[in-house]
Amino acid sequence: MLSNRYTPDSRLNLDSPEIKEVLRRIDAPPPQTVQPQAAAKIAAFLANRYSLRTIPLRLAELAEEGHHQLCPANMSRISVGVATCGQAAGAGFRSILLSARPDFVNDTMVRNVGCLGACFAEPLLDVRTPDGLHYFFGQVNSKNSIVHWSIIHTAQKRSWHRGIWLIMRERQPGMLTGFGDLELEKDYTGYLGTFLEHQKRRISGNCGLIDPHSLPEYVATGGYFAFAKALLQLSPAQVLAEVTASGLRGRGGGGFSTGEKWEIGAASRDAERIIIANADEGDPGAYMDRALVESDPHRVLEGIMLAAYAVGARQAHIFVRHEYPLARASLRRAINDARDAGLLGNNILGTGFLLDIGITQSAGAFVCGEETAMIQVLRGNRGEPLPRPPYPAQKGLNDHPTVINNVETLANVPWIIAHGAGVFREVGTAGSPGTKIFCLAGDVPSAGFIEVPLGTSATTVVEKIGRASPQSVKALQIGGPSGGIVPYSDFFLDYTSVSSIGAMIGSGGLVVLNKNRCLVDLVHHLVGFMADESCGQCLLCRDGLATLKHMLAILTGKEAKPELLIAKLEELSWAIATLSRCGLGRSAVNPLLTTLKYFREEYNAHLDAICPAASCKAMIHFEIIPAHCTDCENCSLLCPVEAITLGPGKGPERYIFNHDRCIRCWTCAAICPHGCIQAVSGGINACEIAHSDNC
Amino acid sequence: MPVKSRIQIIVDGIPLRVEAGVPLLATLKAQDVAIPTLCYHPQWEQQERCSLCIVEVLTAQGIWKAAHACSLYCEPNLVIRVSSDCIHSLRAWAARLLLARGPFRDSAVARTLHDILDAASADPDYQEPPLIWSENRAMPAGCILCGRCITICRKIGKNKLTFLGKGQRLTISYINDHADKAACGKCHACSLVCPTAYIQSNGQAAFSAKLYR
Amino acid sequence: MSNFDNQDKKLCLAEIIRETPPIERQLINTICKIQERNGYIAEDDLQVLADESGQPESALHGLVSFFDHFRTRPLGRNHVSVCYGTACYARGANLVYERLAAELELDDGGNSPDGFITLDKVQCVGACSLAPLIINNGNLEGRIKPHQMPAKLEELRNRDAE
Repeated sequence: MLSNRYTPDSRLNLDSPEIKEVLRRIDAPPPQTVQPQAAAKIAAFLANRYSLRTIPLRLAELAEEGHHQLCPANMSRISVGVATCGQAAGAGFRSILLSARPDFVNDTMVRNVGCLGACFAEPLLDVRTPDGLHYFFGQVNSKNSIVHWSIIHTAQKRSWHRGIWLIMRERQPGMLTGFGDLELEKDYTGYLGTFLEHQKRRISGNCGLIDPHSLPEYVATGGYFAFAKALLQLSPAQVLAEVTASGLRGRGGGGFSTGEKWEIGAASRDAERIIIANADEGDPGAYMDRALVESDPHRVLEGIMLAAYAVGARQAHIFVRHEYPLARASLRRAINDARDAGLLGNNILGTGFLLDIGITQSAGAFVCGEETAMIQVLRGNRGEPLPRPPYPAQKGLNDHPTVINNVETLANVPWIIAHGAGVFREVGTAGSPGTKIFCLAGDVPSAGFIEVPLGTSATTVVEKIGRASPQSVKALQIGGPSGGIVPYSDFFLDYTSVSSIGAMIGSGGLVVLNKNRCLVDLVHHLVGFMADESCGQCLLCRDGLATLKHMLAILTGKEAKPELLIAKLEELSWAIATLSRCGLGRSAVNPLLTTLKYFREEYNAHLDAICPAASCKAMIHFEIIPAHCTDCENCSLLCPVEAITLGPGKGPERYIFNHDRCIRCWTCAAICPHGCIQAVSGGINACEIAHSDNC
Repeated sequence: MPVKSRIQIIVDGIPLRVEAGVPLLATLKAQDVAIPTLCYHPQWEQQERCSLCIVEVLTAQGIWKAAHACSLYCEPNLVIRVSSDCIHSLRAWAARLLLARGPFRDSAVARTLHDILDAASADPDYQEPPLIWSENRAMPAGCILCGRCITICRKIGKNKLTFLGKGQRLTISYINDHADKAACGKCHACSLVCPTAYIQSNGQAAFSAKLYR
Repeated sequence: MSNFDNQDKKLCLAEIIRETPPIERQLINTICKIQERNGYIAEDDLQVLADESGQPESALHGLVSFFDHFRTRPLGRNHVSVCYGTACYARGANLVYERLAAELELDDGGNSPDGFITLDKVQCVGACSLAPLIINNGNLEGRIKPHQMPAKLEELRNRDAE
């Protein structure tokens, strides 16, 4: 029997019948009756907004049901963010505890929602009171037990309590069709509000607000109204024209015009066309596709449906990365619910349009994000890219025209059809219209995923949203391992501007790097990643990248550096980029070439066995800063190889570092309570360690 | 036999009349224009695996762009050149990487590759710096992973060979599948097409890598 | 392998395929499901799959070996993966991995000989704000420090002993 008293170290037995009952309750929709007079209210509002002349009854019913769950008139609603990040931070536990409260039954509902994108604040929890106020609590993890009662009181007494991070209010109380309907009321943190305020959350507008497993909640925000409008009022050619007019460009990395790609597919003489949604998201550091699919899977489905309608496809596949089990589960549930509601399958909305969507799981291969490699895998072959042309949109899976779009690209489509190409273009730049979701990670306090207009300046993102101090930032890595590493400056984040400085927006990963990050070592790591992921067909990509990795290992290691090492790095990089069949080989050298261009002095320093960031193991040794040392002996006790011995006497002078024994594991620096152990590069104590560490 | 159309292409400034739709590499060989290659087979799709047959194509924008001659097809107004600093430099990198997969049983292979290196360096005394990685190879020395053996084994219906893994761990494996346990070794097809003489007798002897031990 | 074992596997495979909607009957999905059921892909799984799909066994070996996630040997009783994505690497993922590996004897598949643990590296799991992180028997644990790893292994060993 679960007691009402929360104990901080309670361990829940997830197999117990009580917990199973609680989980069943969270998943089941709360019993609500829909008043007949008010039945069409939200549906009529949405239909009017999106110029939908007749509302399918099923859609109206779903909208009403969802609206009562999103904006309950007489209950509070606690939304707990339990996407991957939230779960990792302990949110699931919190959700179960709250749902188990017997005193919530009539006045508060607890729902699981997706990710708001403020990963630094996870687990995030939103208490909505019937007057349309949203009280956000951050970092509600298992160590934070006091806040549990604040949450409960806020929900039941519907007023402010200690521990609230942020309050937002519905512009029109009782109306919540996305993040855009909220405005900032009060920010108690000084930064969560700023994090959200500088964003324009069009595509991610539902993430963190709705229950991703709930079709009614999606519909209540306007979901599937664009699809209904397309099916009932527009021809496929009109839908296609709207997407072309919007100027939407592929958000997965290529930046190719989406409308143009669709046109190639639609113009084919082959009547059988196929849509593939790319949720492979191989770029390390990019997780916007995961967040979208976990937090708002129906939006992705709606994008696929619209693409299928416009291009004339009757089958679609979603190719999902193996590392995203939650995303697959969300999609599976969404597809089943959409099918049950008559939005997938035969004769959709009575129009004769038919579509089936299947999920294909990848199994750990970055190259499969490349279009032709993906098609190979769908055919049951190794993921080895084919020469292009022919392009998949001309001839792809089973030789049919196959339109492959990234899931973020597809998630833009319902918005475009709902609001129109013109409104879409109001934000962004002429060459890069619309918004882009970026994943801000690395040395930045407010890390997470954000959505901003294309053309936003890097400083807005890194300093205003990310809260990093400008002096601390050395470089930005943009676009993952295929992108570039550029010096931090005030450039614009749009396709043209970023490529003019030698990088590419790619999938939208933005890793902030401070002066303690060795760029040469990071490039070594990225090139090594690409070398491992090369499918192996092309000599230059396969053996060339491995050679580059070897050269970089020499550069960051203890061996003597051969003459012309850097010149050879450049030459070989150019050969690989020129002779590789696919984008992996061609772009794998971007981090190297951009750092050689902008940070050459780091490479030159390594030639002299100095690591300016004091990071490369072979070039550093550890020292104590005597001023802060309190002689606690922790470093000596915890060194795993006993490289710190204690001489006679007292004080920092008696700590003797044996630099030959030291394995550069950083344990001493990490556990020193006063941070007085630092790595220093250069000088005779730079190490003689085993070479194998540098792989 | 349908008459193939003859078109004009330009090679090193010289117009040539050639058959349309034929791979450039085959056409050049027929015209006695020397282009090095190891992996190309005129009747198969095997292409772009050894990167020796580099030439340059003149694009519509007037730029010379490097390409593999084995995957370029003769079409009207194709303008190419077979010699330039860029071409020699690219072929030299391919040659270096291939040499690192040696030594080769067929001495002609190493000779060809060294000739390519000589063509690229201006200084006859230039010593190749020992920078090419060759440790921890999954594939024993002498194989350049061109895959011709796999292709022919598939084409004759035996299907006993396959690539295994990817990237640096790419190797070739012989599978004695349960459906046809007839031992390998009678047809010698793979050893006949191996460009480096790595396969001496048969696939089973040459490829010891296994997914399951 | 005995005929009886293969009959069993044939039935298992037939069941997997039956449960899969036709639009999802790609080979890679089938192989993923075999691994979900059994923890790894056995050689006779591929024999049976070759018969069923018409693909030669060699092609299936080639396909399975292409992907990092397919295991050809059973997992250890514990499975710990270290994320090697960019953000995690920048925050010391290699130090975490090295600290764990130093405490364990592992074969080149990352398996300890006594079956206690499988340790491997995975590519980015998309929780970059929690870098560096490990996946400890399916649970994401973020913001971990290398020097916490020996204690973590101790915890797993204690639970293992029970």
